[in-house]
Amino acid sequence: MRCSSFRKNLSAYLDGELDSRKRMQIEIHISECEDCRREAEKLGKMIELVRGTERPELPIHLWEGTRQRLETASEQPAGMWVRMPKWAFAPVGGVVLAMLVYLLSSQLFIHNYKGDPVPVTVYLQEHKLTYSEQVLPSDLSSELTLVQTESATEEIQYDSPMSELEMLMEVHYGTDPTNGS
Amino acid sequence: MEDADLVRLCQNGDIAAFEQLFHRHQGRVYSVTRRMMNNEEDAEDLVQEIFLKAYQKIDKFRFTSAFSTWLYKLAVNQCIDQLRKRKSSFNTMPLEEAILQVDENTPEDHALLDDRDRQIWNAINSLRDKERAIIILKDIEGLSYKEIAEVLKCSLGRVKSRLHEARQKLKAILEAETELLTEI
Repeated sequence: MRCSSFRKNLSAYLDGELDSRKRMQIEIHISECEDCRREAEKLGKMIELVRGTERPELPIHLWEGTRQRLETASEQPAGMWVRMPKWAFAPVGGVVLAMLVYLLSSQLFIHNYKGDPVPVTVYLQEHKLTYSEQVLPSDLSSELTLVQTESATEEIQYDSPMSELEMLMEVHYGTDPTNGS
Repeated sequence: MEDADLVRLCQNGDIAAFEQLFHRHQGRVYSVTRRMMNNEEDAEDLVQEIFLKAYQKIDKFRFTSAFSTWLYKLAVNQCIDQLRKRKSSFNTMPLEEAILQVDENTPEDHALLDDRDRQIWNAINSLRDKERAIIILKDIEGLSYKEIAEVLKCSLGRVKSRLHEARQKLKAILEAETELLTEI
């Protein structure tokens, strides 16, 4: 064993943390090398000095102070959460998740509905309905009927096949056939 | 009753079991903390904080190591965190104030330490925090390399090399500044 390898393993040797083969190599080296023997003695002496220092005296009332801190911590909401096992949060998490899913889906529905508004008159025309076919609550029917009547009349006049015929006749003959001239 | 049984009772909220664990281990925790912090008042405050943390985290104790090792780990980490915080505030302190705070031992502390112990602790306190921690864990508390590896979260090889370096450094300081090792 070289001196450098000896010194690297010396601490572990003094602590009894080496296997028997390494320990034997160290002991052979100590018996042969004066410098390393002195080094081993010095390190051993130093460890002994450190181990021999007095243990600090325990302060009294250490438990009292700790107990007070434990009580204060348990009075605070944070302390309560610390003592709760993790699984206790699962039902709360499930409810929160369900609420989030519901809110998100309803938001999406409202967004689609609002993002593509359909005027009452167009809706009635697309579904081939007239205002007279609507089943409305009695208290709202007068107001809604009025709106639908005006709009429906405009739409019918604009889109009626008669209007298209009139337009064609005007282009070809330069007259309005409804005038009778 | 074994530590593990008391821990199980604590995990079910039994404060009396925790008190028993406290009385069983307060000496070790205080010894490490007092030596790491080099100040009685800070050590007392920190020990209480360490045990509060231990109680709050006891559900996380998995019985894979001894309870004392787990507690040492908590204590060393708290001390190193606290010392780091202290150093960052120390760096922003005016120089005159910093000089006044270098030796944190009170006159009463000095009177309690005999001259030889004072020289040794002055040398140990001049080591870096992690070097001091490994010397305290091995030479004062008598932990095995395996236990130290668990406390410091490193390999056995790393414990061996770090301890070797820390001891070599301490020996060099003691040789340079004291006559404790010259008689050999």
